[in-house]
Amino acid sequence: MKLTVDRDKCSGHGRCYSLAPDYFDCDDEGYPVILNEQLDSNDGSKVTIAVDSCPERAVTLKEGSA
Amino acid sequence: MHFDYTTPKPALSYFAEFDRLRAETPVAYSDFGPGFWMLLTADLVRQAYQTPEIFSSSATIPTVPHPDWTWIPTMVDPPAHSDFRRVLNIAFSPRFVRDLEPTIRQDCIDTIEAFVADGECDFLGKFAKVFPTQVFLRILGLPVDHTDRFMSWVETVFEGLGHFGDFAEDQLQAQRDIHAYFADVLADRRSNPRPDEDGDFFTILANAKVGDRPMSDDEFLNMSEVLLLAGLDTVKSQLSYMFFHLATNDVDRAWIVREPEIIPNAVEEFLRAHTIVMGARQVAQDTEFAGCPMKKGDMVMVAGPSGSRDEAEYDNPTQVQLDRKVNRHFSFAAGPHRCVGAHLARTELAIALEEWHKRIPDYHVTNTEGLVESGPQVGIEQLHLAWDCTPQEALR
Repeated sequence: MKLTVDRDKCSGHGRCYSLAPDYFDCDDEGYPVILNEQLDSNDGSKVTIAVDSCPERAVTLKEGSA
Repeated sequence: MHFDYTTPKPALSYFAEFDRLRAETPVAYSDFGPGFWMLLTADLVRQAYQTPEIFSSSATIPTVPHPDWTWIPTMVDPPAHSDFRRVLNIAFSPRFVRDLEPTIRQDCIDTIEAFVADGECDFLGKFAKVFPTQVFLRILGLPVDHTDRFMSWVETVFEGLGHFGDFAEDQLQAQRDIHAYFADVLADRRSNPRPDEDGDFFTILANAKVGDRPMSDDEFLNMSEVLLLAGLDTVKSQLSYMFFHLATNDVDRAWIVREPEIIPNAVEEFLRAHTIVMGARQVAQDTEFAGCPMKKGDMVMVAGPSGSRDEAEYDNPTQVQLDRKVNRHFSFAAGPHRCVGAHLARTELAIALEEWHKRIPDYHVTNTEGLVESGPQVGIEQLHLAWDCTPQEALR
């Protein structure tokens, strides 16, 4: 499973790096930086909540590897 | 349909009205004032916010298609928007807010300590107005003893926005007064730049570049006005709903006291259940949207308070569930104009819940008058709380 952020849609709400800090950090303007795009199977529900909590629906988790 | 959001109604009435409307239709048309479309579902709210080329920010109050003011960056569309926005993004970034947290917390503690022994308070007058205003003035490097002046201007503006007659006249006067105040700030920072240039917000703003040119005086004033309007009344109004809910809901209040770790999640849930801004956009080109023929110049209420409670996105959306897991509310809008103060607001709201409940775990509402709200930015107008404060010494 691979994490991606659609930069055109992301407006820096900060939900992803608040909810899944092992996977997202933020830059100086508050936009997310992906730390780890490959999902650890143990972190499934936490990352899914972060993905589903994006108000812009800009974060996705897709099948496949980095 | 006639959606007159200016009429004061009992607290939470407008949320219930949005729930009823949304159950009937995804898009409505209200003939109140000059008239406006209403987007009621999460899907349409998100689409409108994310499509600024059709839904322009040239006018952002549903009943005001021709505003007499130009808020920056609020009313600037992309691509020009990002030149203004970048200055603010850095100034209100998550890191900046995190560094400031101890100061914000101390402001909150001091505000509560001033009245905790009284056993009661006018919640808005003694806490919800005071705390965010102090935080804001401190961040911007303005004198904290100007708190009353700022609150009064901000309230006058929000009482008038989207209304008609005397309220709207007073609103314009308050906006002129705000500009006059910040014109003095600008003159001061130009003639007397602060030595800690990187730390003083208005020195930074006065010297900011828009693209490759200096920012004009008008732009400086319009940005300063936005910061003031957006930073004070919003947090106050959100606090009014949070504490009204907790004062009237024993289970949730006990939960916050017993398990303060839930507070960041609870803040998101309060923001979702009670999204306070009935924002708007203006149609920039004739378009058919959700089956509706929208004409250039039409006003469109992008109803965040409805979209955040959409059954299509949430189970039991009208219920407050402090441990709700997935939450993508529109309290901070969406798209390029996402609230720049979101990180600051969340921190202020969480600290308010934490520090209040450490000192006042049990409290109730004592007023029956004034538990009312009106739009386009709703908030409970009067909220009086009381608690048992028998000092521990007296019990010995």
